[in-house]
Amino acid sequence: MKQILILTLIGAGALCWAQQNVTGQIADQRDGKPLRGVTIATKNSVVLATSDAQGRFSFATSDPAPEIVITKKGYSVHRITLALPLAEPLQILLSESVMDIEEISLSTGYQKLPKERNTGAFSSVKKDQIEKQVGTGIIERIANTANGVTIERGISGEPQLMVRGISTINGPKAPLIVVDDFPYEGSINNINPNIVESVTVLKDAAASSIWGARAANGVIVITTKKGKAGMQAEFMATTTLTDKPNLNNIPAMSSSDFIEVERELFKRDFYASEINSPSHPVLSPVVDLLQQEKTGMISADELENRLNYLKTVDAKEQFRKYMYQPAENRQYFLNLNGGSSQHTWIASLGYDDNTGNLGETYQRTTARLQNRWKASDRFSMVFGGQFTDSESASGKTGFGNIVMKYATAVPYMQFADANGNPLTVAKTYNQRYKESLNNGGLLDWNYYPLTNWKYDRAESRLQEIILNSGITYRILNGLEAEVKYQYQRQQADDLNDHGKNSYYARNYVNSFAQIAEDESIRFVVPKGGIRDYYESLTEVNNLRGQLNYNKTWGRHLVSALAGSEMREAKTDSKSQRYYGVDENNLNTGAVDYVNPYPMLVTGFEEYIQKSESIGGRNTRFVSLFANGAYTFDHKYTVSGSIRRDASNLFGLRTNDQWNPFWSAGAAWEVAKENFFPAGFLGSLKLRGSYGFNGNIDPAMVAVSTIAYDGDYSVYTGSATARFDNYYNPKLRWETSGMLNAGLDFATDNNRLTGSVDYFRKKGKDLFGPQLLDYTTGIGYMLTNIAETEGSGFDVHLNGLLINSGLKWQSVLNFSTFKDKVVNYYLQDPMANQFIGNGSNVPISGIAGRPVYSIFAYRWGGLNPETGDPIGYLNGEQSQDYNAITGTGTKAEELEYFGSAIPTVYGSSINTFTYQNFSLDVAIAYKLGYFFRRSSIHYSKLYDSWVGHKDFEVRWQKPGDENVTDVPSNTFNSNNNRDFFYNGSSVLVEKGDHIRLQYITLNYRLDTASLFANSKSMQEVNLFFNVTNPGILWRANKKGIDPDYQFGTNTVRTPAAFTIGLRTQF
Amino acid sequence: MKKALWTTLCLLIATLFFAGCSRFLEEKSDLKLTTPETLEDNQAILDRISDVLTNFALSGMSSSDDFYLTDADYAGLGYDEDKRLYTWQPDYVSTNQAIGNDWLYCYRAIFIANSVMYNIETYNIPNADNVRGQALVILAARYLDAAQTWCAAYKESTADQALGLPLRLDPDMNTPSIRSTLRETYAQIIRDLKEAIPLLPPKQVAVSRPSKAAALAYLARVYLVMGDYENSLNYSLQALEIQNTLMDFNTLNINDSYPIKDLNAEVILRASMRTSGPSRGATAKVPQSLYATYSPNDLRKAVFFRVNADQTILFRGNYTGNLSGKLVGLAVDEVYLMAAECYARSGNTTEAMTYLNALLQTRWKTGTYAPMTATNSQEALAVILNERRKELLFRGLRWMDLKRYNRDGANIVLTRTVLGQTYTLQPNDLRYAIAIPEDIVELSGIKQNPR
Repeated sequence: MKQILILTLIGAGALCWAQQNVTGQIADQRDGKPLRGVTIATKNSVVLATSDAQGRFSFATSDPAPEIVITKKGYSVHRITLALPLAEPLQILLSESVMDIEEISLSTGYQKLPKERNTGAFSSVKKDQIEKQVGTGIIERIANTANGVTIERGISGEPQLMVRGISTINGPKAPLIVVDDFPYEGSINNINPNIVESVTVLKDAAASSIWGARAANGVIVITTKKGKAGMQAEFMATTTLTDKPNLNNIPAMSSSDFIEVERELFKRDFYASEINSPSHPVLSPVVDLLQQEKTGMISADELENRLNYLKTVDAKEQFRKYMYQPAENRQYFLNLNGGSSQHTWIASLGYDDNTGNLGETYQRTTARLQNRWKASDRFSMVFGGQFTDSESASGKTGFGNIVMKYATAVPYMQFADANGNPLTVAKTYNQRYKESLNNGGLLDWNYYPLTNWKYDRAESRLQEIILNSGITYRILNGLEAEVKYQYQRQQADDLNDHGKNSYYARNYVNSFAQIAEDESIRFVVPKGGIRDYYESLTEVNNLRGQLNYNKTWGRHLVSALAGSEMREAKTDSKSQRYYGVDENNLNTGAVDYVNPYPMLVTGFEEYIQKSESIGGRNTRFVSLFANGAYTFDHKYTVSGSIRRDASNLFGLRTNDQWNPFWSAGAAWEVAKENFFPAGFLGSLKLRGSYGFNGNIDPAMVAVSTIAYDGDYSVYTGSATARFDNYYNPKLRWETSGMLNAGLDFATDNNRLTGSVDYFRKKGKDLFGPQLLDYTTGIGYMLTNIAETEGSGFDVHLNGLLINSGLKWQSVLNFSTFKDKVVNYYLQDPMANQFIGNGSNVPISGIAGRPVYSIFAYRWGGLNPETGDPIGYLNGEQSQDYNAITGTGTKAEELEYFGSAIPTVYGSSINTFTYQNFSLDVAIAYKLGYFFRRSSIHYSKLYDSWVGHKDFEVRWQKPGDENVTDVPSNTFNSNNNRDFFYNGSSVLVEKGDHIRLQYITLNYRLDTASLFANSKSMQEVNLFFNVTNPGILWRANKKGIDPDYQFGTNTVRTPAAFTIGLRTQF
Repeated sequence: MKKALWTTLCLLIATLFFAGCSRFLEEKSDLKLTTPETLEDNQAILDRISDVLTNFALSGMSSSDDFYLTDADYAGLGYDEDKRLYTWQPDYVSTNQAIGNDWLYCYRAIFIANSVMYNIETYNIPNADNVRGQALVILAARYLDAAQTWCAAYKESTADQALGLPLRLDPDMNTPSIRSTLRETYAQIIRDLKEAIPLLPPKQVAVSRPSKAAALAYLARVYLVMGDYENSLNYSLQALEIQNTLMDFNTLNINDSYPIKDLNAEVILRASMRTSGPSRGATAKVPQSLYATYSPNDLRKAVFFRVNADQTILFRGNYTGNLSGKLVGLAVDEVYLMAAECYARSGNTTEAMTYLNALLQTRWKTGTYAPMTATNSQEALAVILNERRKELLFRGLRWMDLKRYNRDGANIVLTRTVLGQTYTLQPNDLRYAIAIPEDIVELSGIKQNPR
């Protein structure tokens, strides 16, 4: 047996001794027609042969009694043990499978569908593709490998998982995630990727309409591993190391530039009001030194020395040295399964222990048990449960999170001295004023970021239990009834512990200290720590009753299901704050929330923050659904599906509660036709589907609603409430339709399989935010604003390109998505609405343009005399920034670049196998889109210390306009000048890039030679993986990674290196 | 066995959908959400004063001579619109909606007050007089504030031609905005206030709710602006009948950062101004000339002002007790000054001086105040207006006063010097009606003020 294996790997037939030829023919049991493309393999899945058009095959073996496994999609698996030599060629008849479709089926969460009979667009990822990747979560692993799925990062800072682009303007854009049978409500990170058997992505209406309204953005169905008869165990362990981030991608301004700007502003008295302010706002260390020099506290020489020193300090270096550390993640997983033909079970235990780059920790324990019990021919049952416990704790303080003023810090911030001792960093108030107040009675008011994280910690714990059960009863032949129930309970406990030594607690206590005329101090906020607790408990009950009907008679095959579902998701939450916490004995103090107190520094009367609140939500759904397919002669299939949902979402009129969804589809197995020429293609199927749904946003209701704030007014002691939604009598339903046409094919020898899908989505009366004449009192309102259209292709190819000693398996995913606004109902959209604030991309409403488009102000270069940016007003060059960024520019006068979402995306995964080695290389690409890069914003620089390294190449003297596009520094705030420059075409870049996603090198140990008793160790794999090593190619010349360009503090995660072990025994 | 199972199943599914369904869906999805059908709900909407009684217009004060900016602080203003407003430019003096402007907050509050009145009617809410009265006062207060900002001074002879405000009488956002005439605008304000008076209790549980005293005092202010001194006096006296307590400044602790406290005895309605741009933080400096008019024994000199190390002067006498959110609602001191002014204008010198002295008595160091006298009503008026200037600075009233004084021929020319350049605003200049935000003109098609 083992010899065959090795021989086959080296190259069958090259070295043959004592070999016997096996020949045979395979046919369909039903009509006796020969079957081609049938795979003949050893029991260890080494392919020996594939049948030809006449169903014939042959292979050579040296095993006198080989066990062979014969498989073909849609047919029952056939296993035989041969006794060689054979007297005559083998004659094998395969029967079509109806029930036993586990391995070749697609799961929609309601049914398992043979691939052959489906009419919709699915893509699937098998466990080996998931297991070749590493990481704590499942989502990245799906996005890396599934067709038509991507993680979008172009619109806002939040990465967004997307299936086939966007379908809605205002609604949620995330696809529905289903685990086994029911939507998953909790944190998706609770799913251990190792329990996943397969993932099916439902992309078109025929595939997903069974899920109703929530399927609008596609559905991802995660199927977990199930028990198998016979004892088997699997163990896996990995260790992942990630280096410190180098912070080089952060476009920070240099310390010396920053200090020079501060000096000049100081000279111009820019800080005079702040220095004199009775509120004593924080001053930067440089301004403080300049003021000290001005008031004679330090000499001019000393000032120069200290400034020159500060110019050499780089906060990024401090962070690298004192805050960041290499990260280490460890993952262990054990899986056991076994049972008899009547009862099978699977049990697994997983443990993850992660320590991040800041020393933050995350531990996850997952345990799972699933049983299947077949009591009789008619009655079967599944039951099981899953438990997850994850704990996380904060670490040190990352770049951008040490805040001195507003949300920023100066680039020369220094929080550790040369010996690594903590230094004081100015924060909240004027440092010198703080020091003048400290007459001994107050707590230390200094901020020490180097050690503060030790006393200011966040911890959270998430515990989840899922219990599920289901019974299936076969009523008649082909008709079965199913009832499924799932209970999910997720408890989250968060604690923000501002210990008594934390700056937060010390500052809070001091700020409220009341100093009497005799200098005595009364602390209205008691000394000690401040703790914020947040607890929430979510309980989800799902109950589903369903009738399944599967019947074959003659050439007719019917498969249908109908059922109903109830679902309730209930969340209770509460938060609490304790003052004066003594961590040694857990004493807490009392505070007065009712009366305001003058703050010690500012003198403002303020109330002590009350953080007690309670919340209760309960959403309920009721659904009715039916789905059916009819197949004639195994060639022609038609399918249809319908669903209605009702919910208790507040304010909906009962009539609006029931939303209809339907879909219809058809498929044709062309290759099964007699006229289809035998030869190259072993299977060819054409598919088509159309689906329709209507949606009323739960936030858009038939009446105006208000929401209570949860707190009482400090003036009247009565409750306060705000408007939550506005009644709009003109509202209509949002409707959308999706068309899909596709084909699936496989070559005769199954070496190349693939699918091509074309889809078209049309949305009418889509909801979006409308900018209203705000004289109405409402600035924006959700209303029907647009008609959109989206279309694209999904191509999936899977080929065994080389099949000799070296095997090369290649998977290619190629998707396109183009959307456009067909009709926009609003009048006169304002140009500045399309520019957006910072790098966020707003919704654009111009017919013919994508929903998320990059628009920019026309750029006229820099003024050669002043270095001011030049724009256009009424076609003429202009520097009237108020008019340009105001009503002077019409939307159609903006320069249009293209989509902000990749219009072409996909991945390529290549697997090379040679002897015991296999190498996987995964590449992802995103093409055909644009983004807006960040640059200097002078008003923010002066006022909020937000710098940018583009400052270095700003216009400084006439002639510079030929070599730079960065405007001059005027020391005169002008937000509209900055807004124009930051929204101008000169900052728009192409987003196209190709990224190396991961590389995995696997070595399968030769167990036979290692262990005397090789029976016990079936398989041992050692692997090495690199995840996210970086960009291979990018279109922009600035060296910007378009996936990590948001904000000025986004730290790019370095590559992660993993070694791992996976065994089966 | 078989049958039993089948029956159970069918029953289960049937029960789920035919019996339990409607009740199952009746459960509220979020206990904090509701339709505003009860009196409590609507009172809760109005008690969220951040929506209705804060963020009164700032543009008038920014344009007035209550304060000035240093060149450095002017250069540091982030928005060019704020710089343009400070130098009385004819257009682009409001930031757009996304950043926020006076128009937005004004009409937001009007929408909320209209919604409450609509709810009371639609849901037939009983015993809603008080809540309805509060909503009416909020409407009037907002329109009056807006008229001082975006409309020309009220003049009887031109009130039918002059542009007023878009008057929104119900919460329907589909109704287009059209500017009324100035007469219609003032008539609406008076109508709302008069309607509110019988609905409201003399005083409320807190001065964050408009009371009858507030409605009366607002009427006094409206008539004062319109030049109807008889009515103004009448309503001033009615308001003082309900609330007339004055703070004795001798009892204030001048060592406190802000000696005047929030919700002090003089406040009639706690309505406050937007904090942004020029008046933000410690940039708004009090002119030396104004500071110099206070006598050393006048406690307001110490209570109202803080002199910085560099001799610049900051105002700290805000009636909400903080640096920001200046009180622009009503307080008893203003009502005393209105009564005094109206008496003087009607020729009653004695009564005029009585009201003025009653107020000033509480502002001076105990034992130092010698009651002021006037030989005739002209002299009395001059004294009263001078004291009005000294008492009501940073209260959102100066711009309104400049407009009405100039209308009546006071001939006050405003001058500001910025970065070496001098800007002036002549009496009755068209720019006394501040430009309506350009995006509003664009979005609604209403008429811009003539420039």
